[in-house]
Amino acid sequence: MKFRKSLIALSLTAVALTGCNQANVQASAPAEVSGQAVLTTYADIAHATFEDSLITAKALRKAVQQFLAAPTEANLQKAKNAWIAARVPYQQTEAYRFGNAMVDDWEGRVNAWPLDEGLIDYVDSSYGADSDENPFYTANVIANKTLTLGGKSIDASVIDKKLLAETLHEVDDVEANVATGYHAIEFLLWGQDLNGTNPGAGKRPAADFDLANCTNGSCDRRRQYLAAATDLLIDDLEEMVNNWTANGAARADLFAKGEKGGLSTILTGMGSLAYGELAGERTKLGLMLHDPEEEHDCFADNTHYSHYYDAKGIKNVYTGTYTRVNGTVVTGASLSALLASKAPAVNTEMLRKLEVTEAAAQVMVDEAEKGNTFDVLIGENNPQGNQVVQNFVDALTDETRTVEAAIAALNLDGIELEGSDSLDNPTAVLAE
Amino acid sequence: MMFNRQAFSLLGTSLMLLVAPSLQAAPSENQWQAFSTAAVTNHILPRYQALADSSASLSQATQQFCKQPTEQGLAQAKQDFHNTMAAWQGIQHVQFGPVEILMRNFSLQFWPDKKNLGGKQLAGLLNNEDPASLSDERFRAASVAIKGLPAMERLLFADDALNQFQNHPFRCQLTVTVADYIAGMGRDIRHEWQQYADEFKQIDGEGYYEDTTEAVTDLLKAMVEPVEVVRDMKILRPLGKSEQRAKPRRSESWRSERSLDNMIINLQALHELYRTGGDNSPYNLLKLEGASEQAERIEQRFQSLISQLKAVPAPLYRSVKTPEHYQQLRQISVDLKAQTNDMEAAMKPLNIQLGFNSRDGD
Repeated sequence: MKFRKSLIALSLTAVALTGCNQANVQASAPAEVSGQAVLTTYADIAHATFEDSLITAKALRKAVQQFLAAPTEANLQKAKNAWIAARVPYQQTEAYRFGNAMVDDWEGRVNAWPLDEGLIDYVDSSYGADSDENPFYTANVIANKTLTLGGKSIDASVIDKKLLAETLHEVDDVEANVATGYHAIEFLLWGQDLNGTNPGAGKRPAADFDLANCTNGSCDRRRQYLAAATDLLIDDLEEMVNNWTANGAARADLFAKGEKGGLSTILTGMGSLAYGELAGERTKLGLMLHDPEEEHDCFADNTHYSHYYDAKGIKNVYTGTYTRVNGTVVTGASLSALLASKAPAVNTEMLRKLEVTEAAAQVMVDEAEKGNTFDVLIGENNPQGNQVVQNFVDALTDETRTVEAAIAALNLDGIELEGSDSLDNPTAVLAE
Repeated sequence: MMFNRQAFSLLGTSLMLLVAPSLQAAPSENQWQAFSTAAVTNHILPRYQALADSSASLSQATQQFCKQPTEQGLAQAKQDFHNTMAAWQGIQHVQFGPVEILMRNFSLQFWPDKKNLGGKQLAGLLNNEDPASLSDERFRAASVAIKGLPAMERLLFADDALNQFQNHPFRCQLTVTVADYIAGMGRDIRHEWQQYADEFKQIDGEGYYEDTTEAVTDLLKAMVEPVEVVRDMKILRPLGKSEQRAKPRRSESWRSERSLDNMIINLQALHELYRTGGDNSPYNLLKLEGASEQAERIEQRFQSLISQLKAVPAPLYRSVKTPEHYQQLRQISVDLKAQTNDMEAAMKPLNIQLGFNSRDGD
C-alpha cells in the first residue's frame, strides 16, 4: 500500500522532472551521452567481469588440484581461499542475470541455490531424512554408485562432468538438487555448517579427500566429484565469457533490442537483483526463517561478501565502472551520465541510494569480521543483528524505487522485458 | 517477471492518468462504497470470526488432549485442525490489513516449503526438548516455518502420532504452544479488523485509503490474484512436468488429506466475493458497465471449477498419480488460467488497475 502510493508519487516526480528538463534543455545539462555508448560500456564490463570470474575459477582449480595431490589442512585452506576470491568477480556479474535471457538461462548451472546437499554427500542427522519436495534429499551420490529415479536406476559409478551436468543437476525436476556450480564446490570444501546461528562455518576435514587416511568414506568418489565440479565451472564460465566478446551472442542480443530495449535491460537487471532476488529471496526470507542455511554462502559463511559484491555489481553497471581483480579499471559512457543529462535529480538520488546500500552491506561485512556472520545476524534471538540485515533489505528496496523512477524518466516503461522466475516467488513481496 | 511487468505498467498507467484522465464510464463512488462496505461486513469480518473461533477451539482441544493423550482427544484435535485450516483457506485471499502485520500471513501458513525447513526445524526443536524454546518471547521470535498450520499438521498427523505424544510430553507441549500461537493470531486479526473495517465503510480521504478506488483495488486484487495461486502452487506444482513425474507431496496439506478441500474453499470464497454486494457486486457492476457476457462467463466458470474440483477423488496426492485424474486436473488448470484472463480483462470495464501481482500467501 505505502509502496504503491510512493510509486505513483515517484512517477509524478519523474514527470515533473522530465517536463522541467525539456523546458530548460539549454540550461546546464551535461553533454549528451549516447545510449549506444552506454550499452557498449555495459557489454564491456560484462565481458571483463565474467573473464575475471573465469581467471579466478582457474586459480581455484589449481588450488583444488594441489589439494587433491596433497590433501592437507593447509592445502584445503588454500583451496577455500581461492573459492572466496573467485566469488568476488562472480557476484558482480549478477547484475547481468535478469534482463539478459542468455545469462539467466545459464546461471542455474553455476550459482544455483539453495541446495539440498544431501544429494551430494553425507549430512548430519539434524538435516533430516526426507523432504516433501525432494525424493533425492539424502541420495548421497558420493556414497552410492546407483540411484533410483521413479523405479529406474541411474548409473553413478563414475562421477564425471557428464553425470553432474546431465543427470544429477536438477534431477527429478527439483531445483534444490544442485549438483554443479559454486555452491556444490563450496559444500565439498567446507561441509555443512553445524553451528546453527552461532559463529563458525563448515568444518570438513581435509582427510575426507585423503585416499590414505580416508574419513567419512568414499574419498575416491569425493575427489572425483570435486575435480569434476571445478572443471565444469570453468567450462561454463568460458562459455559465458565468449558470449560477451565483440561477436558474442549475449552482446548481439543486447544490441538487437535497440537503444531503449538495451537501457531497459540494464535497469531491469539492477531492479530485479536488488529487490526480488537479493532483498527478498536471499535476505528477507532468512530473517523470517532464522535458518542458518538461509544464507547464500551458507557452508563458507561468506554471505556478507556475496551480498556486498552483488550490490557493487549493481553500482558498476549504473556508473559504468568496474575495477578488475588485477586493479585495472574498465570504464566508459554510463547510464548515470545519460540520466544526469535527462533527469539530474533522479541520477543524484540513484547515486545516493547506491551509496546507502553499499554502506549497509559494509556494516554486514564489518560484523562478519567481528565473528557475526550473516547466519549469526539472522538468528532468532538477535534483534540487533536482525536490524543490521533489515537495514540492507530496506536500502535495496529503496534503491529499487529509484530504479523505477529512472525507467519512467527515460520513458522506458511499457518496453517488453525479460523476466525472472525468482520475482514470481512469494518472497519477492516481502521486501515491501 | 510479474513484478517487473506490473511495476512498469503501473508506472505507465499513472503517467497516462496525468496526461489524460480516464474517459471510461465506470462504477460511481457510491456504487464502489456500497460494494466495499458489503465486502468487509458480509465477507471479510465473518470469515475472520470463523478463523478466530476455530483456532480457539483447536487451542482448547490440544490443551485438553495433552492433559491425557487419548485416541479420542487426538481425533478431536485433528477435527479442530481441519476446521481451522478450512477457515484460513476461506480468508487466505485477503492479504492486506492486519494479517500483514508481524508476518502473520506467513506465520499462519509458510507454504510451499521448498527447502523442507518446517520438517527440519521442527525436528531440531523436538530433539532439543528445551522448554525455554516454548516461552512466549522465544516462540514469538521463532521461525515462521514452525509456528503455523503446517507445523501443527505435521505434529497431529504423523504416522504414530498418539504413541509419540504419549511418550514425549515435550511434543505435546510444543503442540499446545503452536495451537495457542495460531489462536492468538486469529484473535488479534479479528480484533484489529473490527477497527480496520471502518477504512472500508467510510472512505472520505481522511483514512488509510485516499479514495474508494484504492480500497476497491485491494478488494479486487484479493478476488483475482488467488486464482493464479491455486493454479500455479496448488495444482501445477504437484502435477509436475508429466504424469510420470508428478510430485504428490508437493500437494498442500497432504498429511491431513485436505488438498482438494482447500482449493474448493478458496474458489468458493472468491466466488462469494464476486457476488457480494447485491446490486453493487463486481458481478452486477460488470453487467451495468455493459459487460454482461463477461460477467456471466466468470460466474459460470466459478461454478464449473468448483464442481470439477469436487469430482476429483481425494486425496489429491493419489489422484495426481492416476492417469484419468491427472488429465482432469490439467483441465482444471487450463480453466483456472482462463478465469484469470477473464477476470483481469474485467478490470477494464470496472476501470480498476490491479498493479502489483504480489504472490504473498502462497
